[in-house]
Amino acid sequence: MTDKVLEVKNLTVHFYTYAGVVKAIERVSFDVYRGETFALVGETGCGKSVTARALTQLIESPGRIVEGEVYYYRNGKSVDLLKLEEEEIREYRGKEIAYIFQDPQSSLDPLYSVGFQVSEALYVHKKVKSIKEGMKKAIDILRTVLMPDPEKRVGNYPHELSGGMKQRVTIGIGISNYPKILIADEPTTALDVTVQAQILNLIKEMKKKYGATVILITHDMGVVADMADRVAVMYAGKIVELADVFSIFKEPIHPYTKGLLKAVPNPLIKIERLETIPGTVPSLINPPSGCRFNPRCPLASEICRSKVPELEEVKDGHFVACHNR
Amino acid sequence: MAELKKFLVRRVLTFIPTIIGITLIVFAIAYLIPADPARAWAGGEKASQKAIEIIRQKYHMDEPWYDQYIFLVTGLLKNEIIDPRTSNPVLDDVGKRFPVTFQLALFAYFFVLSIGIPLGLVSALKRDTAIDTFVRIFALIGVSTPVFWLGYILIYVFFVHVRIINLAGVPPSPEMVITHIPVIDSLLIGNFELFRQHVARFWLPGFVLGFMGAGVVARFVRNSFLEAIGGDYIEFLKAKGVQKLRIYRHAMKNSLVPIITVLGLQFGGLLSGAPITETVFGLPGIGLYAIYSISTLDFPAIVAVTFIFALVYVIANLIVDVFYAVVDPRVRY
Amino acid sequence: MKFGGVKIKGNVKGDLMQEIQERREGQEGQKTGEEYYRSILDRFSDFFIEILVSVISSIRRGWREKNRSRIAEWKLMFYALNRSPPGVIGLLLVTFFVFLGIFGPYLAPYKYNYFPIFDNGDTYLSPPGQFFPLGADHFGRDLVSLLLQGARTSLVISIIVILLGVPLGIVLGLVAGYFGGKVDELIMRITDMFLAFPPLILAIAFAAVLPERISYLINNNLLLQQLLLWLFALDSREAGNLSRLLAVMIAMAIVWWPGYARITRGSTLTERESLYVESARAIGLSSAKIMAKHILPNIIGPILVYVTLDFGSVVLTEAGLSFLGLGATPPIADWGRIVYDGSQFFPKAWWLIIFPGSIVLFDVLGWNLLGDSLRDILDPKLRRSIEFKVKRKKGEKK
Repeated sequence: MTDKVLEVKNLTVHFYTYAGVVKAIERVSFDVYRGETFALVGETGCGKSVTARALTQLIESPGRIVEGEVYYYRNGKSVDLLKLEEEEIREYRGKEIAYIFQDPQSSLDPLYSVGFQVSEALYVHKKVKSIKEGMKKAIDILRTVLMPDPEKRVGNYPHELSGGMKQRVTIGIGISNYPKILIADEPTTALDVTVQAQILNLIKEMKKKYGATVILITHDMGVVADMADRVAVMYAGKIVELADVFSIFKEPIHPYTKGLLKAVPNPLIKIERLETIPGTVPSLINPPSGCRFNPRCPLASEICRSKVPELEEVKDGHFVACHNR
Repeated sequence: MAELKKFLVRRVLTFIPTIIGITLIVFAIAYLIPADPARAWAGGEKASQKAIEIIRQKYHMDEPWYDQYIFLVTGLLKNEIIDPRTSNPVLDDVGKRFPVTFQLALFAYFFVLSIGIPLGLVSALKRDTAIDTFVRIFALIGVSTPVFWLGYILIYVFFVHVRIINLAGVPPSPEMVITHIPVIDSLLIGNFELFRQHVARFWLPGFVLGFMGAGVVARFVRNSFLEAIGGDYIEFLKAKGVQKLRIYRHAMKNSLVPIITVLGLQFGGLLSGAPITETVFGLPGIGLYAIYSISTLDFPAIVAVTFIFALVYVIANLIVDVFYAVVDPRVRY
Repeated sequence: MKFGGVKIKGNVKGDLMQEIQERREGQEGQKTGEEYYRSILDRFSDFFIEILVSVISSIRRGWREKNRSRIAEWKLMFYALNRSPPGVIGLLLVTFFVFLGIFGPYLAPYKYNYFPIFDNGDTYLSPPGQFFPLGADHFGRDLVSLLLQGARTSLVISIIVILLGVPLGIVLGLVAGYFGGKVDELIMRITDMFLAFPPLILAIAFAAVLPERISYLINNNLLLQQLLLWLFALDSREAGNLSRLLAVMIAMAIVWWPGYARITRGSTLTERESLYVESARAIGLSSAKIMAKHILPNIIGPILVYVTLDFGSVVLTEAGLSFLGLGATPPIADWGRIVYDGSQFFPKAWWLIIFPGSIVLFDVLGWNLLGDSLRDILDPKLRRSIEFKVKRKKGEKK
């Protein structure tokens, strides 16, 4: 697992709003290895989605990628995705790096049939010569994502499908070009609990079938335990801990990770009662100085308030950004 | 497509109560017609009492209201109401003048679309620039300009000064009638000279009538397009790697739904403005006919014109709804 | 650009929002004694609101104390308006034309029914500058005087149309939205019936058939006659022509109410579900009271903005109708009618068209500018976009 496919360095995204500059993510760095499932975990608003979208410059005004590099490795060569022009990066999106978004309801254009939208993904990357030709392939793709009755469904409009089926369509669009990396941004959050497991299984299945690397964004530790190989925990726009999934669950080091695990049922450890982390997520306009977690941290000391902790390797492959490790 | 058909049937069925509603209001107008015109129609002050009586009877003026309503509705439907001034069935008179008004509205619509839509798109794509501000000012001035004022100013420029338009009469209709709209017919049968004459006579009135709508449409297109481009599915399209132009196409189709509504309303607005434009440019359409009827107390004509205008307006709305259903599959349910 | 004492930069509105935000914060912590800079316009509008508040308070005791936050909100709204140049221009134009509407007839150098042509035949269609600054009509009447008198005609008709049409629409919309079911169905079907007509056409039809009926009413009702004569600042000689003016007003009101019924019903439907309505119902308030005292105050703001936007179209429609020969008849002065009469002598007597037409244009433009700015100020979405715009400029990169 030393074959890097993605290397993110000091990725920083700011949003320029009226209320002030929202420092959505600040100097985020991590590597993703070929074939693994890499999970980005954190509370709502901690910058997971922004990180995922920034990888292919999918940041809309008033947001802006302020600094950072994202190296994408292919055939032994690397490209900095953030240096690419609009038209160049477009070639990567959907073809090399595909996305599945949280809400299938609003991901699909309501005015086109789902078959058209799958076919369009093929067409824009020149996998098919025409939308019509793509429609035939779309049936196969819908079958792969276990859509019932794909021949009929291909002509349906999004509003005629259930949430789960719509998410199958967006996954179908995601895998249609056999991407190297599939970024699933909370793919099950907007779905019924009963459908969630099906969709997660489908993603696993697809990963196995096409050998893609999956970047999974979620706030659900259960999903992490189920899916991930390695985990990065984010808090207030920064990565606070990064390790393989077993280390995270068994020996979390960062106080936030510990708190997070105490707040949800941990599948690996028996917990008597769930605890909450005191305080609330800080404003990202004026984040706390030093370690951003210090106002809520039980171990906070003077250095936590004055100095920003860097992400450092404490054990083999286990990174933590904390002064009290 | 099956549900599209069902939708169309349902929509056409709701047409019937609307028509009944229209006849009720038209009746209210007819009922308000004072009794005195009988004297005027019979020949003014010198009219014999007998002649007045005959007219009153002929137009059911002394009957109870429900009888009058039935007389009016059947009369309109069977075209049996006789215009006391011309002694023709009143809908015949209206029908003769209708193509002029419709052609005027078409010319105006052409300007509304060809100015409004591109301008709106440009200002959306170049939002918050000088073009955007210009469109906003243009829209504001458009809705603030009295049609008659703009009409006379342009006549002054193009007729009095440059003399490139004429204001008398209407070019003849082509000998072959296909759509009843002369300008289209002359194009269809290949009579380009006649086509040119029609365009020469109608372009300026059309522009004047469409001026207000163009600004409104431009502003509306801008806002709908910006709203559509902000949709979540646009982000997913980007993530899919779809080209910019294709994304614009998606946004365009999505913004089309609200735009169609406004375009439908605009057509009604154009009909509304027809009487003024026809008066300014001396076009013998039904608007001018209605105005002339008012001055001669020819009330059946007013009733008929109102009825026809409402009918066209309602049909325009029906077409809008059908367009809706074609563009947006969600509407079909 | 210099504007009302403060230098205005490109990003006026955003700065303003910031200022408002700061002011809000300042008001919360008023003890800290924070004072923000107010321009001359702001002081003027504050002064104006103070007068208004004093008037209301003198009628209803304790109003000022009870409505402190509302008064502050009004002031803030004016600050926002003061920083939108189109809004200020609109407000100035509107104030100007309302002023003309009220005092115009008394400012006019000549009375509208004085016909100089009988004294001096040369005044017939005399061009601008010969006898009168803006020329004369075919009775030799001074155009300036006619325009001033016409301002009154236009203003009175527009206000009465709004006063008749808007409340009717609001009441019907409230009832339809609040009760729902069959009542709603009935009212909305009737509304749809009226909306099935192109508006101006319907107004033309009613304006054409109504006068005869109305003339009985006016002739038998001296009080109404006197009131109308006074409103339009007309001599009693013109009593015979009043029916046509009243007909136009009624015809336009008939056309105008359905739109308001629709809007009001829409907002009533959403308000009906709110908790405060439910609790009002729970303590047993009557439906009429809930509608009038609880729902209406909550939906009236946007409706009033809409009225402002709509006022221009009322003026424009009235001018259009009188241009078609409906409504005012000579010698009653009316902008549209002046153009109609003048058009017989076009292009020779161009001044009879250009000047009244421009007056209409500026009047309508004023209302539209004001309404447009008010809508922007009250629309939270637009407010936010304005906010973003400013901050992007302050961004470090790109």
